[in-house]
Amino acid sequence: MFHGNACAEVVVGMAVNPRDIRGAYDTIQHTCVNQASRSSDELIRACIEEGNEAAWEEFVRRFRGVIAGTVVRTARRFGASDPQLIDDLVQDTYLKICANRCRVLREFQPQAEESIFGLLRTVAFSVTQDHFRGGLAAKRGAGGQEIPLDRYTESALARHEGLPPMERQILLGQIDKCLAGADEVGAGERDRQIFWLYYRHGMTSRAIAAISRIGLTQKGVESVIQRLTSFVKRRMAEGNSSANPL
Amino acid sequence: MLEEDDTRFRRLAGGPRKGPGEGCPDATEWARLAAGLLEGQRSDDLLAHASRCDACGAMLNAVTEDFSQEMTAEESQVLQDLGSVSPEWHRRMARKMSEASGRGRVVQMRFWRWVAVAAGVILMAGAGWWAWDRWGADDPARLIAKAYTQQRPFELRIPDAENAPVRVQRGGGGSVFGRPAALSEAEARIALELERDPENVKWLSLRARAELLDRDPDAAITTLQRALERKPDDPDLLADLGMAYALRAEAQNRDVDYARAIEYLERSLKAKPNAPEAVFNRALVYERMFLYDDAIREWRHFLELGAGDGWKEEAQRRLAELEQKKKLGRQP
Repeated sequence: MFHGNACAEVVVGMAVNPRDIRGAYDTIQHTCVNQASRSSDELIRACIEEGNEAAWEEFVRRFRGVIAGTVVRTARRFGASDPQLIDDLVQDTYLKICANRCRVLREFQPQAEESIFGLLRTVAFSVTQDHFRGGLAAKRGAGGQEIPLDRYTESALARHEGLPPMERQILLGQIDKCLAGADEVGAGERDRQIFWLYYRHGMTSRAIAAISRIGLTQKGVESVIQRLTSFVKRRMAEGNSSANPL
Repeated sequence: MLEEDDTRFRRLAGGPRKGPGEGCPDATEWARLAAGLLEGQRSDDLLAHASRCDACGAMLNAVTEDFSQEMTAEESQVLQDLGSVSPEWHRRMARKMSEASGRGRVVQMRFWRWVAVAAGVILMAGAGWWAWDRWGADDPARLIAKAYTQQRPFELRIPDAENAPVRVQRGGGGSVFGRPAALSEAEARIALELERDPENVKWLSLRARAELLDRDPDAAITTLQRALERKPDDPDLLADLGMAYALRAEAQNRDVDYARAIEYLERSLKAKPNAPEAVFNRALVYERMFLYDDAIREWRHFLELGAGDGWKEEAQRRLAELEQKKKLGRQP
């Protein structure tokens, strides 16, 4: 892959002495040709240390999908889908990444090759959240209308029909009591958390398994839910029968 | 009946929710958890919080779905229709990033400029020395230590503070006018600095210390954990976090927090074994946990460090009381 225009601009920008242009051109052309073959880790290091436009252009090209995808999804939860706004937020994300001499990237310690995608998603999410919470909206003169954060969280609840609040509180208390004795079926604190994430918040087993700290596959999560659900139901049934002996 | 339970369980996730409360983590924290950027205790704490908090659970649900699902065909089309897809946009963006990152152009500097820069550096160094000397009196760390000594709010010890008797505050938080002026002054400066650089570890750590003096250990714990993400294993941050947990244990009768306090103080002392404040605080926490022998050993260790007058007397008094109680076979 050859980034002709970008390289020419870099040459003009960097070479102060005209006699050096030829040498600079050769060096930078070589750099440009190799950008696409660099691993993400190497590319990021090149952006931080060399910081030339060719490296940044490859960075923009390579990570646009993950950044724009995160912005699109987060903005949609706030009810926004204007392409111009999305592009602006994508741009803000890139600029945030290279602010303070690329502090976000410099301080990043990747746990794995794909960790960079998690970092970029988080930055894009944060930029989009900030925008809809008022800060950037006011700056851009978009009416300065602040949309409460709840609109974002509510978007995750839309598909569930709820219990009346009092009944919900009582049921939560009953289940909590049952789960307190779940040690006897080998359930630990993490298993209880999985149970609550699934039932109380309506997370899918796939989404729960996607949280790396949970440390289970989707099947593993399903198995925990099944085990604890049976246990809680059994406990609640026992409770009901002892409360109504007749 | 069991089938009915199933339906009711599933309906727990629906219905209206309250927004996040004051103690709820920031939205970005949930994103970092979902993105796998957090490890250890912090992610455990967040998971425990999310499983119990309706607002944060919903937030975690949304962000995890968004981060983990594959792009749909429709979403891919939306991305393809954006202006940012074009190579020209990439080039413009790359130029901006190159400039914004401060590495856009290499400029040759003439000799006289070097001389000017060198002279400037020398002048700055001189002025800096003078300013440092003057500024010391307004240093927020010193102001916090001064506020602590003026109205020592708890038995645990903060760094660089002189010894003073504990003043028990009655009732709620009290009037702000009753607070030491030094604390308000420090807080104003810390807030200003954090506005400029919200993730600066030094200012986060001072903010946490001020929060402790304000009797808000929950806030201090959150602040210190944020600082520790930036500078893991920093012994001073770990020592302060241990103190924050001990204060929360005391304020909210949460014995489990004493164990956490010991854990963090131990980690801190592993790196700085003779830090007097951490040794002092660990001795106190052992006392609270009724671990007499450990507390006695720790007070002796503290006294061997050659503490200043007030602290030495306090440690001697506590050690004598503990030995007496141990002799009598009573709990402190």
